[in-house]
Amino acid sequence: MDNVIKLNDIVKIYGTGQSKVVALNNVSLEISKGEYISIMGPSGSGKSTLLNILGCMDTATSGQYYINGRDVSKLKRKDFNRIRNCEVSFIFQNFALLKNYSVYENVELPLCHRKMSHREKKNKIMSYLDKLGIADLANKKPTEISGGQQQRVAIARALVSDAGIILADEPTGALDQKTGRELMELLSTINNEGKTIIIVTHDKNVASNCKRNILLTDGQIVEDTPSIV
Amino acid sequence: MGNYLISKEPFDKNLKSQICEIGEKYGFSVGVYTLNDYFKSVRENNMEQSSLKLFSIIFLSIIAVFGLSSIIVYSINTGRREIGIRIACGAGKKHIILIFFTETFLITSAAFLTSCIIVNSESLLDVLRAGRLRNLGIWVYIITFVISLITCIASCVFPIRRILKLEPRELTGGND
Repeated sequence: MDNVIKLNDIVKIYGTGQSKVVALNNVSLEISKGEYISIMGPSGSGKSTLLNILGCMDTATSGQYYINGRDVSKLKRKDFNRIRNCEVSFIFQNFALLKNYSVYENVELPLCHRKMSHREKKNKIMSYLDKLGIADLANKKPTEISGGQQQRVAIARALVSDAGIILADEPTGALDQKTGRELMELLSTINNEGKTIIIVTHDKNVASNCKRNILLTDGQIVEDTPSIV
Repeated sequence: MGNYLISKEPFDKNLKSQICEIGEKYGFSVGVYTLNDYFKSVRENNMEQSSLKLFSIIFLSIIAVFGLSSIIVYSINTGRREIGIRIACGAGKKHIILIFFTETFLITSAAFLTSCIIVNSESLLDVLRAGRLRNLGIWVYIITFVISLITCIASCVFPIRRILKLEPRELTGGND
């Protein structure tokens, strides 16, 4: 299978001197196209740091990171923007929606950097909003909709960019159990359509939905197993 | 109002004091000047008033531009999360700078228009009728606007640069 992500001895250190914290310690990992992975571990184990590095939201102190075969450490800033726009999408725990913008405008964000006609953009956005059952909320502000609906907006924004890799940081963290389950079903459907999904979570139920579970402790991968449902 | 007696030629000292005495006798003061003296005093008076006006305008403009710059810097600092989200969605440095420069332009224009209306509020109808701005020439308005805009843009460059140097993950947390 094709590796969409490959990490070789990734180290991430925050701070210097006595306040130095090793968040990731020689992490090596290979992820193939279409995988559905959970990354678990206690607080401070480096889960979010790993996700940020995978999503090019942060850079590693040392080690090699290859995304779709390209060495990220050799890329220019412009290329990082392109990766974040076209190859990797983020779903945040706190939804990360812009409160002063409508649902439609929030979903439109990744397309602002594409050369597309207004009509093409509108058709694409509305088709995803429709698919996620929130087309009727297009003109509402995020503050006027529920947490579950806000997370669906965040998913629509992640999907609209057509990125092959979707990274989710505690996507069910701010949702009730029922909405969380619905969200996981939605992510499973998206994975079945061929997208690679990597979820950082504390929740074992969420992890059990995934096809591969990675356990991080003190910045190191201590377990990497297929999920047992 | 004072009474003036103006002559083209210089007055004789005695005549000057006699005129003043007569004036005092009838209960009013009389200023006795030659034409040159009179124009000199008017010029000095005008210059004093103009300097005071100019000083007030410059002083108030500096305060206004500082206030405006503070609003813009505050707006940039509170918009950190928005910048983070936009970067996470693939926005580049140029796009972020363009957003804030547009915002700066709009805020400065709004402030400038408001101040123009206040300055001209007494004679707004006259201004509309005459088709020109009161007292000051159009160039004064243009120069003031350009200086305000340049100062505001300059003041927002530093916070934008500081924010853009951060890693995107440092920007996405927190609230709007």
